[in-house]
Amino acid sequence: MAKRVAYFVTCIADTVFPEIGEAAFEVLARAGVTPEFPLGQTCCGQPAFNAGFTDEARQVAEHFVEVFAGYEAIVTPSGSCASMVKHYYPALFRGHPRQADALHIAARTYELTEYLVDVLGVRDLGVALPRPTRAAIHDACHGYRGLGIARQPRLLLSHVRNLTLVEMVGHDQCCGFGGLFAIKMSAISGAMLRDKLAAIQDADCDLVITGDASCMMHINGGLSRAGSPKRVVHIAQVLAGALK
Amino acid sequence: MKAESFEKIVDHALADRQLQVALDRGTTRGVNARLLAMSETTDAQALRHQARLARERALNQLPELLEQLERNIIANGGHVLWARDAAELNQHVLTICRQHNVRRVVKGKSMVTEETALNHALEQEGIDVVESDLGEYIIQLAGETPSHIVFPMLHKTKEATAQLLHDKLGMPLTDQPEAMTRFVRGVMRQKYLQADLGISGVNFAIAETGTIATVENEGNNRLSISAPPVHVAVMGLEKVIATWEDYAVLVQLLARSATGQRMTVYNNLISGPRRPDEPDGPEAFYLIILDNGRSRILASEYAESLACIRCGACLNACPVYQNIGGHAYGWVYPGPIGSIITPLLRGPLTAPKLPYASSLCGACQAACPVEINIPDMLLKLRRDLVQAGDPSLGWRLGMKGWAVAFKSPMLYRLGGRIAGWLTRVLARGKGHLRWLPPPFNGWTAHRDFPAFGTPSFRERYLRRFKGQPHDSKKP
Amino acid sequence: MSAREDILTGLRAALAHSKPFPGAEPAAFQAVTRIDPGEDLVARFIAEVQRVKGEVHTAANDDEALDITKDLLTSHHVRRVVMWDEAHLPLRGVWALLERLGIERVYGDNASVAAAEAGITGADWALAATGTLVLSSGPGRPRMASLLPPLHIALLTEDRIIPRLEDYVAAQRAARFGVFRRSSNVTLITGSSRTSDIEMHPVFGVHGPLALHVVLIKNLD
Repeated sequence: MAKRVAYFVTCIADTVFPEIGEAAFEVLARAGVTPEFPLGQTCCGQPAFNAGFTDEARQVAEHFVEVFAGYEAIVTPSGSCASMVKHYYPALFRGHPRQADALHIAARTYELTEYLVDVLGVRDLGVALPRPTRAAIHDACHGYRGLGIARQPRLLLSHVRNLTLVEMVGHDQCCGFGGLFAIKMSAISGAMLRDKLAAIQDADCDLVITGDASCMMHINGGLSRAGSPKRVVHIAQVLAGALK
Repeated sequence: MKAESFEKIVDHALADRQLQVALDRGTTRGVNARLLAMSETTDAQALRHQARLARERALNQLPELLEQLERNIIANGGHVLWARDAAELNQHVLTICRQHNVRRVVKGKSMVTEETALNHALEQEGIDVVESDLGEYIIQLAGETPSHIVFPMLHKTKEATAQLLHDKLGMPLTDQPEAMTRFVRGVMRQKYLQADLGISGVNFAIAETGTIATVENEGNNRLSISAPPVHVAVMGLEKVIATWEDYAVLVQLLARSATGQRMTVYNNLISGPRRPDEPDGPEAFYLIILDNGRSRILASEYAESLACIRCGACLNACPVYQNIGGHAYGWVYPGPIGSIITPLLRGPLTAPKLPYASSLCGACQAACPVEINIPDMLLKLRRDLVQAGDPSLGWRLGMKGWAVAFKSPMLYRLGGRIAGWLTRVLARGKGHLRWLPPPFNGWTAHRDFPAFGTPSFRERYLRRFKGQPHDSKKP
Repeated sequence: MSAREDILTGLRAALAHSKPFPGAEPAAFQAVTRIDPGEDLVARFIAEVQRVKGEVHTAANDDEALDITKDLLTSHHVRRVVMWDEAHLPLRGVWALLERLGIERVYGDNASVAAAEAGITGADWALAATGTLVLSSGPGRPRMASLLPPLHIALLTEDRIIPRLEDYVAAQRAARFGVFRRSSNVTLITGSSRTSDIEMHPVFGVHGPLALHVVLIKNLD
């Protein structure tokens, strides 16, 4: 019997950057997987959880568990959302009536590149960029340090034709988003963003690729304010051949 | 520590160009030194885990180890005193000073004595206290507090240092660190020889032999505890470890994580006062064991924070510390570890901003030689603050509203459509906004905000797969 | 209740229900520093001492060692020395050498000893992997000899060199840690005193000795 795989698009890739939501779905299709898209999905609860509002986070997480219970794999184009479910759902649901479902889900949630490389064994998606492009990777914190995602995106991108990957100094330095941190501690967040922009400026690349749409949103916000010609794209957009 | 003052201090720190240069230099060097030194070990990850287990085993048996430590120190001719809080510790030191007619004290670096404000207590009684560590001495002359656990004057320039030494001690002006250091060496010699008592901290206390271990590079610690006739060692009760094998791994990871050295220049192992047949060394040795909230932490879900060996690696790795420096943290312990133990030792409402001064990037945890999960504890502290009613009514209502909307697919979609429409209107066709209303204006002060794409992914999915049995769940 | 009772009771209560870290069993201990199998420990020791700005002078025998010591004392214009008793040095004749050179040996309280320009000691052990000297205090072995004077001369025979700190610990464990009962102060010395407090600029020679010179003597087998 075929595994039932669900696609968790994430609230940001659903409402703010639907093109990323589409791109990630397209990448899975290229890899031979057409996941189910549970229509009732909303959010993993991370924004509230990170702000210390565990009750509110749990309410939203309960809905997540209801929507995604019973799937053999849940794939999402976000290291931070995957990390939230895998690392924090077990504690959030300790003693809860739906604890078993939550643990089941936590053990079966994957970030996109993690799923492609480690579960499906995919390497080459047969993608080519429209013109020769030099790109650096921004290793988004939760995926990189929380889930150990570093090798997988580089492996997939190494097979993309017309793409030259360069390593950026400070590739693993936090961009300063941190969820509500960007608003609550906006001066510090802005200073961290400036450091990231300086690293991007110094890197020999036209493009920056990252696995988290929230980092992308944050850094692009800074690049556009600074009038920089460089931009950040989501790795799903690259792998789906969606870059113009 | 008021909420307003944190933001103000941060703004000052961010605008202070000299501080920014110093922070950049200090933390970059610290990170690179640690990475190189750890890469040269036999297996950095395995050793970190070994070090972690050594700390865990010690914390699991803390009372037994402290008793064993005490027995062994007494058997070696030393004294052991216990202090429930800062006042008791200071009182013990004052009593010892009276008993030994102490007028002049020389000190090696000790964070615990900063915690209890011991210097102030001694000075109130007319006792002269000199910090012997070069950085701490300069800070003391300047009337400042240290801004880093390992590099206390990280925030000071050499020009400011030279001016200070010139003004306070008559040193000829120079811009050479070597000349300044020689000058202070000369000044300090006399202090060691004239001191009636030397105070040190404790990096590790090895229970199985009753030995106090200190690490240093300058030689000031050795001199402070060997020249005067009395040695008082002060330690937080969590510093005790079970065995010498634990010491071997911990002391080497401490050196590699703090300064990138394989061993610090001096590792001093003190097992009580001088023996009757020894030609020098203090005649009296006292160890003072301080609680000051640590036993309460051990009983809590924050016990892991007691594993800290005070290496400062998390400070250097933290992008927040790199930008705001140590003084912004408001108390003795800066950086990620400070963000946790300050509220734990002093009470969460004394430092309500600290747990939020983090993007939870995890660089601290990755740098920590004993694998402390700092981000986890920051999240728990935030939860504690919310449960204590700390956030403003606006935030609390906003979060409740958010939860109501986001657990309901219909409200979530409706909210998304409205927010999306608003951003596109405010963006006026440019794809991004330069202004958001409060409380979101903090974002647009420093960066643009995107106009939401339309339609949502969900809409696009429905249009593409309309009528196909892709999802058996209710919308 | 005394502070001691209060604190211990509090700690026991904290641990009464459960250990905060269940499953923290001793891991298999592995050494921190790398040593290659068959590595020449003497060469490694010398390289490591030099790495931390110490100097090593090799001597094929006792006479050469005395010559080297004489050169160090005269080139540093040493007039007073604080030293370990000859019984604790791996070399005979140092005392006689001082007499020949007209160098005074100082004893006694710190103020007297503070005038010395050099300290001469032996070492219990030397750790090859880190260039570390292990010195213990004891009768005839003042702490100040390796601490107060600006020059520290350490006399060492090659057979005292062991691989690593972990080996030192293992040896002391085998000897039931007697050294920590007998000796109030064991010090591990790795290089000359230093600081980077001023703008992270390394300065050598702060409060401890400015210069460390190891005279490494071959053993006659």
